Amino acid sequence: MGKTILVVDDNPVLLTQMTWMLEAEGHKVATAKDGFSALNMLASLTPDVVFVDLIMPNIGGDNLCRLVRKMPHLRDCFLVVVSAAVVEQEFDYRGVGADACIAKGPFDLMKGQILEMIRESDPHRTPKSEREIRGIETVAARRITQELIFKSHHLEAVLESIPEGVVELLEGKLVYANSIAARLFHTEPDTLLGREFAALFPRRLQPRITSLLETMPGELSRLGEGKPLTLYDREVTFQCLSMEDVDTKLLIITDVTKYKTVERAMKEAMEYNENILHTMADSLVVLKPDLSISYVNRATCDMLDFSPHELFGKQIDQLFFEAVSFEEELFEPVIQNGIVTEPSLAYRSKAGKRIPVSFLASAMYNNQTPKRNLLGIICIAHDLRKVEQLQQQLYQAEKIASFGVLAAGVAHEIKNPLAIILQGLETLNSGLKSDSGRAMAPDIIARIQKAALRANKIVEGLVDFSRQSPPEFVEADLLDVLRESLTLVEHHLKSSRVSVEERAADVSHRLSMDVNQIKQVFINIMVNAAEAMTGGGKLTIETGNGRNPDGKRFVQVVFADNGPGIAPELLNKIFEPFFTTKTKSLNTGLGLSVSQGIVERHRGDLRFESESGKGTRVILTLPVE
Amino acid sequence: MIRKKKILIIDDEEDFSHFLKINLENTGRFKVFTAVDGQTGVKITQRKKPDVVLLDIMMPGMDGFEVLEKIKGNVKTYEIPVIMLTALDNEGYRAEARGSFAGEYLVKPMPLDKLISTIDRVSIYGQ
Repeated sequence: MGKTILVVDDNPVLLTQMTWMLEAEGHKVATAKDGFSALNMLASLTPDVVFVDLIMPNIGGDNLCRLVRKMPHLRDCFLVVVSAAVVEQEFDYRGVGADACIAKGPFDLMKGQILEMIRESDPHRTPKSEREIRGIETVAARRITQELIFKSHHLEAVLESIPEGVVELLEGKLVYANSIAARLFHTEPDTLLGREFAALFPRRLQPRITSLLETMPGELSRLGEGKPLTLYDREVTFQCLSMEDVDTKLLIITDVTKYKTVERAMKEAMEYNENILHTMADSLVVLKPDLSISYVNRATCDMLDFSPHELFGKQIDQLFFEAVSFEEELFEPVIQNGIVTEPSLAYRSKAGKRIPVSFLASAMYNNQTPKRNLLGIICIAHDLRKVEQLQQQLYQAEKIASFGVLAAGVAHEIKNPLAIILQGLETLNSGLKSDSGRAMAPDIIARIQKAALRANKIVEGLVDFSRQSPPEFVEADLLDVLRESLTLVEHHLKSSRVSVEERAADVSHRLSMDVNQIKQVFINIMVNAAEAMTGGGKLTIETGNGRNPDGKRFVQVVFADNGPGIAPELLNKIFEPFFTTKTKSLNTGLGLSVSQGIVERHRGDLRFESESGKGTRVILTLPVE
Repeated sequence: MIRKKKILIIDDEEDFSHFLKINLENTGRFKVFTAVDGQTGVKITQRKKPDVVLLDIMMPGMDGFEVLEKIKGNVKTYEIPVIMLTALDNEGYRAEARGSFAGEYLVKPMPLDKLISTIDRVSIYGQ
């Protein structure tokens, strides 16, 4: 009775010879040119005997045997390995599930063994415990085959050792999978062979896999690079190489779960840091070593009304309101001390508005030792607009307090011109009765006008001083400002019986200043001096200018009184807010601390020299820029 | 004919003295001298022996109180009535003026008739 026989071999000549021979013996013969086609056929074919070549493309004989053995309907199928390679390489055919093995040699010699195998394939046979590889003695080993086998094993070892999953597909079905790939599918390599690749994936991913497999021959396409696909518990990306000439696709599956976890952790950490920087209320600007801006936080953008990319690459100098050269003025100190603070700088907003800030710059290095490389400079700026506003209110409060002191004096001062006006009108009135009197009228009127203007000037000076004016730096002559201040305190000094002597050096005292604030400082100093000299005294005001040791020009005003002086234990307290020795109610105790604040804003210096019993010298120094 | 009273105004406000001198002399009852500072004022007081001195307080150099001290401290002039005539309206100064034997304390600006009646009053006491 004829049997159904499947012959699997990549040698078409052998397939033809086998078919002829076996059909002549009355058997039904099917052939397959590789393991893959055989597997496809075996889905619907139940042969009694299968002859399998060992070395074939698209699923080799060994794998095919293993797969056949796992198929329930082929349990009784008699599997015979027919291979030439068994001569060059020891092969445990039973290990792969085969029932027998024939060394492939000249067809004439093999023929008898093949027929014998078919006879032996009776399903009710009693398996022989020891079976030699048939015909091995008739076939000689070939060196080339040995090398090929070695190479094939080497390649397999390589594919097993790489961390990526590698699968080979033929017509969309798996013909090779390394163990990494199998593990990604939670299975063994063998069980994957012959299966539809796309079907291994959840239904929702299948369209994407299918389109990946449509890669044109000779091309490489990728899937999941930006957003990896989830395969069971892993995140994977695919690279699909479609071979030219053959209908084979090679897929590399990369498990990016770990990278993604690390990436996510890094991203979270970065976002956290970014969040800190963006939530910071102070402006943060990071500079490259060439002083161009490489980073700004949100507070900077909000403060200056710029968008970040408008600032990137700009030089930091462009942010400063006044002409400040970071390189010339700040770079050296930052490098030398690691940090530099500038309590009063100003940034310029996009609209050109001045934004007062306290500024801090520090150098950022890499951590490598011994050679430290400057990575950049961190600039932090604290918005002082609120502080300045408060300061402004404080100045104003103090000014109002001085106003009280001055107003009393000024009121008296106005009475003098008023007295002139009143007497002048009286003179005019009686003068109109006579010709000689009428002739005097123009002179009388002129004197009255003079007195009226004088009264007006006094009132104006006071109103001007009390006016709440925004801080404004203008070029002015310090001597003029001093004289205007003197006019305001003149009466107060007179009524305190303080005489004033002015000694001005005949030089220019022009400099940039906030006139109103400097006036406030002068008035404060002079009122203090007058109050120190109870019972009267002499106030000498000397002005002059000079140069610092570093060549910078300055103007100096020295107020020297001949009062009792300041006790040494009080001298260091006088600038403290609310410190006062006066008991009069018209006093805030803030005068000198406010004055000092104003002088500091002008980058100047206010100094007291005093000795008990020898009077006090107040020395105000302002830089001429 | 009644003798004109001699009045000395010591004040650094020249325009004030100028007008006051005319106004007082226009009444026909006074002969007025003026001094623009304390020192000159003391000298004229001694030389002219005025019937009344009108004395400002705040003046450069010697102030009104120093002048008052000189007038009241001199045996030849201590009896001359002095009217303080000042823009300062201050209780401390009023007290100091009283303590230094000033006859009156008038605050500028004041109506002419009030000044004249004050001059009349103190010059009666003084005589």
